[in-house]
Amino acid sequence: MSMQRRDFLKASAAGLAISGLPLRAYGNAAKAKVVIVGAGFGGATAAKYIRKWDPSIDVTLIDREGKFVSCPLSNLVLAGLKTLDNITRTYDGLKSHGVNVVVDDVTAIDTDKRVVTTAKGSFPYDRLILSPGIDFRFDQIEGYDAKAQETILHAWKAGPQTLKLRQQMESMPDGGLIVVGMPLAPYRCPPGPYERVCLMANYLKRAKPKSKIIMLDANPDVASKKPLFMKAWDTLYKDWVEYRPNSKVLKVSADNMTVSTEFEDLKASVINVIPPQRAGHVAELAGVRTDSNGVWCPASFVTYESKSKPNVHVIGDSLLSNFPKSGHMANNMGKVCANALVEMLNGREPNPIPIVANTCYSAVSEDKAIHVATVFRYDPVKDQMTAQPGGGISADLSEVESVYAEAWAEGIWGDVYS
Amino acid sequence: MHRVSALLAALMLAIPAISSDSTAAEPPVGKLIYLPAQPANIPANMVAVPVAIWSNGQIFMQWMFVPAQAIASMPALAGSAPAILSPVTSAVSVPATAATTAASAATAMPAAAASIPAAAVSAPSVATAAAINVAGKFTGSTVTHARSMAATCYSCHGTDGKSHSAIPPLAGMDKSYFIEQMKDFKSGKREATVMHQHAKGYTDEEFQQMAEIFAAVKP
Ligand code: HEC
Repeated sequence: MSMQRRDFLKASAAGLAISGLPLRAYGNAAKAKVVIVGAGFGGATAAKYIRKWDPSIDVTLIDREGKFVSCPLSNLVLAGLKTLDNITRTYDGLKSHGVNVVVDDVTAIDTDKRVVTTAKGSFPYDRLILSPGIDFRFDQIEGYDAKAQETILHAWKAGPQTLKLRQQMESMPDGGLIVVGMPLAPYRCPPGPYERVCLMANYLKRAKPKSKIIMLDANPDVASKKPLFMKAWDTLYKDWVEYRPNSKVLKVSADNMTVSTEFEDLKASVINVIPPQRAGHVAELAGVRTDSNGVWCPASFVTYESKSKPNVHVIGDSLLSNFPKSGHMANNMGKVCANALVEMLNGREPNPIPIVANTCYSAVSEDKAIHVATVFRYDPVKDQMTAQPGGGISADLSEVESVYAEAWAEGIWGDVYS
Repeated sequence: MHRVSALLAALMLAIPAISSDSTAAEPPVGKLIYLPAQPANIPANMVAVPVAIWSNGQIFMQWMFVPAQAIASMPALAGSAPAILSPVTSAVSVPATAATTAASAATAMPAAAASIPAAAVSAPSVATAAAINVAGKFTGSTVTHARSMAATCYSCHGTDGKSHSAIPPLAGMDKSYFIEQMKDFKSGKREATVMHQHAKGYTDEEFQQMAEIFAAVKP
């Protein structure tokens, strides 16, 4: 990369360059290189849209998994209503957009030299996008060590754990107890744990009607779509679901199959504990997991550039924000970030007032679903994303939304991976 | 007005592509909601010029680089150029809630005042300096705001609105039909499961911009 281009990128990052102005004289330098780590909803979207909006930019997308398994709809796999295949997509579509896909583990990130190192290679970048998702903080729960993790599953990343939890439910006796533990917000997928309880209950109702679920919620109340989930539990699963707020899981024992809160110890046939979370470890490698607790990554809402490391952008669940940590949000952030980088790498100002939207559908049974939808708009004075008035939840549980929920999944998987 | 047109002439030197009909600038009216600090590092031989773009009663300020030469060669402007360049004082900072009119924004920002209308080229519908209307075509952030905004819909309606699911496609949709549907979702006239909530997050002007985008896609 020529010196000129470097200076120019710096100027652009500082918010100096303006479209169409003489700065363009700097523009004809070598092809810009963007490296993206994490091929989930955020990273894969950013990769596709950078190529869509400027095919001259070189894009490398790195992920340790060879294909994508969707967290959205994975609770339907638990309930036996979908297969893992139904919710799996390949990276072939991304390749057809000219994205260089690398399946490998990232081992180091040098943000001074601007190089990402993996087990098998190294990748220099002008701009780096991190979309590493979440890591689990097992150390926050006593006894949730590597050995206990073999029996007590989180199943909060779709894949082998989803199938294993399904098998645990299948092999438990009718009359058994399932305990689901969930952490304080913020965590990945705000309505997800409640959806899971609905769909596990849906399975029990059909296959093991004498069994029951106790949900231990660390939060003081149902943290998402409350009236709708309450209605589902009251009307569809009254005999199968018991909900306990303010019940943080403090301790688990796989040997005794017990789970403990401040108030009680429960013995169960199946224990499913979703631990507290933080930004994926790749964010730590880059030194961008820098909020006050070292848990999430502060970044600009205009460019998603990290507040601690220049030229490193963070999107998706890892971001410190008021956003719900959803695939839909990650997909929208991927587009805003792609849009900003395409402009900046061409010496133009990024769009100063980006908009992102969220929608989370939740299935509550085999044929009913609900949603929450919000549009966020950047407020440059407050430097925050403001939820626009008018967003909200479904009027009721409905069959038509069950159809739309599935259409949403097809739509967004296609938008990201086709 | 003299200074105004002089500065515009200077800008036209800097951006030959600006069409002459963009001289029809009226003073911005509304609330000043975006005023970034003056850039600290101005490239050699450039000057930073404040520009305003406004829309829906909101004024956005940006700094734009213009070759010093271009400004110096304008006699009417030469004297004021240093003033334009003088750093904006802290007095300029606008409280989040202050409904500052263009006039008071101008007094708050004396150095920049004269140049505001000059660079503020006629009403691009998205408010940013990069949205200057070049020869009648949107450029810079107007395009990028619109494409980024339309992309929020692609999550459900498919990339470029080419849906392959139960959610209806938007690709190739007639503009006036599109705008009417969006307004009807927003007002509640058309019933919806989810679109009423999304439509309320966008302005009518943005419906228009998205209508252009979807109409232009071959279904
Ligand atoms: C969460 C998924 C979702 C998102 C995001 C979304 N839509 Fe929709 N859209 C739908 C659904 C579902 C319908 C059917 C009406 C309903 O039930 O809400 C629809 C219907 C429409 C229609 C009516 C189509 C027709 O043939 O009459 C238009 C127009 C439309 N959407 C535009 C948009 C635009 C523009 C955006 C982005 C600003 C957008 N939608 C974002 C799901 C979505």
